[in-house]
Amino acid sequence: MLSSQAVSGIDNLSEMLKGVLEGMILQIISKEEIYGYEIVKRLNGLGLTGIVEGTVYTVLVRIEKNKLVTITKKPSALGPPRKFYTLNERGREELALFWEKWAFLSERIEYLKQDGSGKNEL
Amino acid sequence: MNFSEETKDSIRRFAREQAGRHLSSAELSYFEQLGRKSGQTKEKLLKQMAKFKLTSDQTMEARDDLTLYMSDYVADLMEQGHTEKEALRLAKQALASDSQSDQAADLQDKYMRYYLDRDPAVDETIGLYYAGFLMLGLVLGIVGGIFLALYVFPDRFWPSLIFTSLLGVLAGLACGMLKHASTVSKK
Repeated sequence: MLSSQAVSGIDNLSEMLKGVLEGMILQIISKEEIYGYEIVKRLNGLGLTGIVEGTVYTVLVRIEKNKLVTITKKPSALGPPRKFYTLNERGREELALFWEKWAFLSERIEYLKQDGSGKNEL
Repeated sequence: MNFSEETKDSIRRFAREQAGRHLSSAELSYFEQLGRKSGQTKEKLLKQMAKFKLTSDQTMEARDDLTLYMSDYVADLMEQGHTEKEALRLAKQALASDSQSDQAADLQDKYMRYYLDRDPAVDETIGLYYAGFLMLGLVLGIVGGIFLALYVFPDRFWPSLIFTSLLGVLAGLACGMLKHASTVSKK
């Protein structure tokens, strides 16, 4: 597992994360019913401390708007009911597409890293 | 975790201000659409009112979501050792939705969806409507011009013909525009 110290030393990680955060959140939701801030805690657990709190909410709004999740409301001690998310069929399709794209991209990046030039076709 | 009344108030106020910004403007524009469609039937008007109510419910829901999310975040920061005031300040900073990058990403998303949803057949249909109405307008203008020149202004044949032809073209263009608007709004 990555340490938060190691990650915080890398500049512009939030820029790189923007493209993949939605997929990461969908993956977390796919495993179990979960509420918004609990997702932040899971991401913090991966060492992504301090860079996701602000953006996870925006991504959650987008995921909900795109109808990728089923929402169950449960009472909360803080007043308004709390929303718990589970992935629906459309969300599962989107997640599968994300992992396909990720496999494609990571394979090519790794190849570029090994090959060093990018002149040779994969 | 229990917050002071001041913090609770501050979180509620922040959620009220920011919740709408997190929703896209498209979801908040039904009131404008309602205004534009004021000439429609009562049934259609009621449907629009229902949409507006839905939007209002969505905004209320977004406020509740943001309130809870922010409360969780403030509580988490306090558990990490921040004072209540400091935690609130940090949460406000992190959850404000008015950054240019957020707006840019949202706009890019909207434009992408707009172009992906476009159907070439609809564009072709609109073009054919324009062409059809323009030709119809021109023909009617010329025919009207000939009658006008023959029976009303026999000494001003060409000016009458040109004038009515222009009117016909304009009428055709107007009909094309109305059909364009109707097709787009139906889509």
